[in-house]
Amino acid sequence: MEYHELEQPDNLSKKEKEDAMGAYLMMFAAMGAGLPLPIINLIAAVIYYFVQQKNSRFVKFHSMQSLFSQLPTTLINAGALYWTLQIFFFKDLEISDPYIGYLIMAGILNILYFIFSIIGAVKARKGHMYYFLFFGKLCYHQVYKITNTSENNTVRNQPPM
Amino acid sequence: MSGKIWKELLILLAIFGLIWIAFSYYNYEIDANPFAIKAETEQEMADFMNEYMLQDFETINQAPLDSVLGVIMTRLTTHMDTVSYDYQIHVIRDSQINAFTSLNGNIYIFTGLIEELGSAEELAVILAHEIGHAEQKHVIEKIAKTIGMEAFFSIATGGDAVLMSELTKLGISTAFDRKNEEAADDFALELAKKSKINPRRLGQFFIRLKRKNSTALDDLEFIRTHPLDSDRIQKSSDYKTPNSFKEKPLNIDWDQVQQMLP
Ligand SMILES: [Zn+2]
Repeated sequence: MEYHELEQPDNLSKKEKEDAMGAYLMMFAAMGAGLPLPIINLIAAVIYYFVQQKNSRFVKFHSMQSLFSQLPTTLINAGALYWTLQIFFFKDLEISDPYIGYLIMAGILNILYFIFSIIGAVKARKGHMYYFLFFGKLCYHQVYKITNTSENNTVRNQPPM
Repeated sequence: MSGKIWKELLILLAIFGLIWIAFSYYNYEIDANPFAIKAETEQEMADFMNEYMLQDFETINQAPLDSVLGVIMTRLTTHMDTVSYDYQIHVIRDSQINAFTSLNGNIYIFTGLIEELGSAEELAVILAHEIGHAEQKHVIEKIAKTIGMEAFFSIATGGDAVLMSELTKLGISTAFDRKNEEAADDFALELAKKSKINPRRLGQFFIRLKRKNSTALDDLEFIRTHPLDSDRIQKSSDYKTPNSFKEKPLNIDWDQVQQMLP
């Protein structure tokens, strides 16, 4: 599999660097607007990602990484909210150890997500690539891989071996 | 490339899965009631409730009646493993068939209920039921839930200081949930057995109330604050006692007690 060449900081415009940074900072702004509903951040990230589709691969990579890395956090937070309401309304406030463990895990996840998003924003502003565990490779693959359609040079004939 | 991507996903899942498991197996010493409150706070709230009760109702303070209640309470408390409160029984002059527990060991019984009861032993099982609510901190739980519920829905609108006192009042006037009623019944049956009072008297009282329920709905406050269902009635009227069990009567002239009431 072949990949497009990575942009280097000197070749990126100030606008591109700021758009890439914006992908990470976007969700903090959204968080302030719709706090108890984690879904609002997600909607904001999706919109941001689609708005950046015509932008350079560098910006697309960072928007996609921000969006994808937000998915598990949102799911885990929604799970915490659901579980809490469940306990509140149906379980007579009986708190179990797995529930506390889950909340602590969710807390750690949110803190890590926050820290890595800040680092991502700073790196993007400098025009650097920054790869999160798993999401970095996944998004690089999605954004930079050379597909036949994008290059419009269909490989029809192959050598015999 | 893609193999590596999924390997990293597995690493992530494993890290967070392990964090969850690790923190789940850590032994948290949670109090059975997450809303445990300080003794002084409970004392203050109990005083507040008592004042509130005295605004609307008149209590009866008669030495003979108090000594009768004292005899019953002594029989019960001496058979309890732990006694969390210095119990205060308040008799309220009112025709409602009602009894309820407030905070800090304050129990209120209405004269309407005493008139309805056939014996001192029956009063003992009802007091045992109310002690059950107190010992198991049901009132605190109920208030915490009501406040929690209210706070939950009013996060956006902002808290209200008056709300707090209104909710405290609500705490005594609303019903316990079924789980708490059953727990208080279990406590009462067990305590009655230990105190040598026939536990089935609780069920007998419930059956009488239920029968009366069909004719005099308005009177039955006890049912409103202590919802009755057939499971509860059945459980308390079928409660098993060993063959050797023999009731040790309370040394109380019940007719005389009823005549003391105004
Ligand atoms: Zn009750």
